[in-house]
Amino acid sequence: MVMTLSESFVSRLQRGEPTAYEELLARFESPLYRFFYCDHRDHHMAQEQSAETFAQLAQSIANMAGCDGQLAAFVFSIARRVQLRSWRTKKQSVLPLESAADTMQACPCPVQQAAGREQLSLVLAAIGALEQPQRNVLLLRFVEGLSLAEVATALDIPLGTVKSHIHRGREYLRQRFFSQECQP
Amino acid sequence: MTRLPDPFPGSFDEQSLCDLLASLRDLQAPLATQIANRQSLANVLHERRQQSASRPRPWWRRSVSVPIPLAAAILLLAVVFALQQRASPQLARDAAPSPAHQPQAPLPRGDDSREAMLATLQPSANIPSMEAGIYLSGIGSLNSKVVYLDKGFLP
Repeated sequence: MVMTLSESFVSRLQRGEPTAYEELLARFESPLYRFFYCDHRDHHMAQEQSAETFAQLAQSIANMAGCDGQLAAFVFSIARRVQLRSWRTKKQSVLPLESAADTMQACPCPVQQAAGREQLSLVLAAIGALEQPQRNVLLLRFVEGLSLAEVATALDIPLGTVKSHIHRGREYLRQRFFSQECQP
Repeated sequence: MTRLPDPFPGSFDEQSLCDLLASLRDLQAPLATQIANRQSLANVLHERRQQSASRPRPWWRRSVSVPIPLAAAILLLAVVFALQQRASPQLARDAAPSPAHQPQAPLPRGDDSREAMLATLQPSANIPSMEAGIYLSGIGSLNSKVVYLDKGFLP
């Protein structure tokens, strides 16, 4: 995801410009959906959490004291709070993996689509088996393209902990994919 | 304990992890989620707009509309008043008579006493005089004495 934003984007959001919010939606709705969906693989819950995150964002953007470069970290820090709140209040319900690929973008070729679904299911299963902090770190760093400092700010953890989560997550995924490849 | 060979030759670096997780980027927000997001944002922005419209402003942020002729008249009056204030000290200074130009009292005729003559004597530009005094820098005059040089008046 490209995180380059115009200079006055945050101030436009603070003024409540509709076009700025359109841009915000275009940039962050899929990353936020992925962030939540990979956590519990529940489409409806991810949808609710995304909507709640945008509502919280619109309410708290006036208090954001930072430049446009810090917006991604700010957005994901709100997403993290929404995630924690719903984790406390709602019971986790895990859907079957087959339903995960329904939300994938349509692929023109059926063979590619099947391969893509299989790959997505594998990756979702692997990343879903990680602990939540490691999963969040890997998603923000390697899927959404945030820097290490941004990940640390978004998840409110030290930089060293981010590196440690990346190392452990990487080791876990290596072991997991290796063992799957070895299975007959 | 036997170690399995490394499945990723070289090292399983960040780029490999990025490639591995790349398929997650295909996971896009469905249409229902996009609609829900827009609805949620629209609700919050509408509420915010309503709140800011209904909240009364504090008195120091309120403004009143003034007709232009009235505003111009007030401004003109203010300018005139300011000019007057600026000019009045100058006028007062000009109007105040200097000791040299004060009207002289008529001199007593005949052989009056010397004290009476001196009391009525005012410094004048017509009478040559000499002033001597003690000045201290930064403070001013401490003492001064005027000596008239006209021999007809002084013994």
